[in-house]
Amino acid sequence: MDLSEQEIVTKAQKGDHDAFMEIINRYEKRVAKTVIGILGDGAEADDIGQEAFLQLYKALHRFRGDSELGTYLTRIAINLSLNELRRRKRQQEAFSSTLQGHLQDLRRMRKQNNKDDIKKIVRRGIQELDPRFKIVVVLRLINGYTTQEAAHILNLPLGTVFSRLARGQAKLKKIIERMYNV
Amino acid sequence: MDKRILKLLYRSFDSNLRDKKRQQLTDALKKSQELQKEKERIFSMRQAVSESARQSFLPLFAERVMSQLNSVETKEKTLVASFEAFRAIFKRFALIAFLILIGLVSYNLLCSDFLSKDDICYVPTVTLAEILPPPLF
Repeated sequence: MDLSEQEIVTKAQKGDHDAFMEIINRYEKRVAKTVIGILGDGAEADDIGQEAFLQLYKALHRFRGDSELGTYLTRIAINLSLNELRRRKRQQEAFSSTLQGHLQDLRRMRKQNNKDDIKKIVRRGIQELDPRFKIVVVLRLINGYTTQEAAHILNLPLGTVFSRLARGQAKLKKIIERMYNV
Repeated sequence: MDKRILKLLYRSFDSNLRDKKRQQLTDALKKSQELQKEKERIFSMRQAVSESARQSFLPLFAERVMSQLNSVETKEKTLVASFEAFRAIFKRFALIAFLILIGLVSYNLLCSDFLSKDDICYVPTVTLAEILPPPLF
């Protein structure tokens, strides 16, 4: 389907399922990077990703094109991901046993020094970040948004984004170094 | 390491620094090998973060979303259809009840000599004397 974003949105607003499928295909990667970046890999991220598109479909009739569809969708994905993080925090149980397993994994990865395992360490490091820092790190470094775009999506002043980005990266560096030296 | 310079270093990755700040950072990098190494570490970390990202959900993601969407829409349509069916049945019953009511009111009116609310609703007009038994003495 070689249509512009506006044309696809108009068709989807009228209930055209093929047009909405095209929207999913166009934006799946962007949403995946955001959701998986914030929540980590797993079935929950997949569920949140699905929910983001379902919520988009329900809200499509309200979409006026004031912002890019991708920006609108990213905001939905971020809000759902944050809700999921809050839910997980409330349900945090048996932390000590998972931490022990986590450390053993890291020791094994450290020995193997495998490129894929380093990626896993980085991903785990991102998961340990405070949500405020995690989101800006994900949007800027994983999604590739500019700091201005990230500020617009999050409705934050640009200075706040810069500050959180710097602090987030500093913390992430410490976390990764600590994990790598386990 | 100077925190102010470190802050500039991080900022330099994400925006164009003003001339004065850029010069400060350049001078600091020239003077400090540790700062240069820190810059390389930050750069490597940012690369690693960017490369670590998973770019897709589990396979057939779009199909699963559409399947959920169809399921939700089918449920909504079923609910609406059930409500419409109930409304149609209720209308018929309401009409029948209304006609019966009209019939009853008309009958009561025909049987009475004059129009009164009690007669319309067939409220029997009895007195206490008619209800109570007569006194013994």
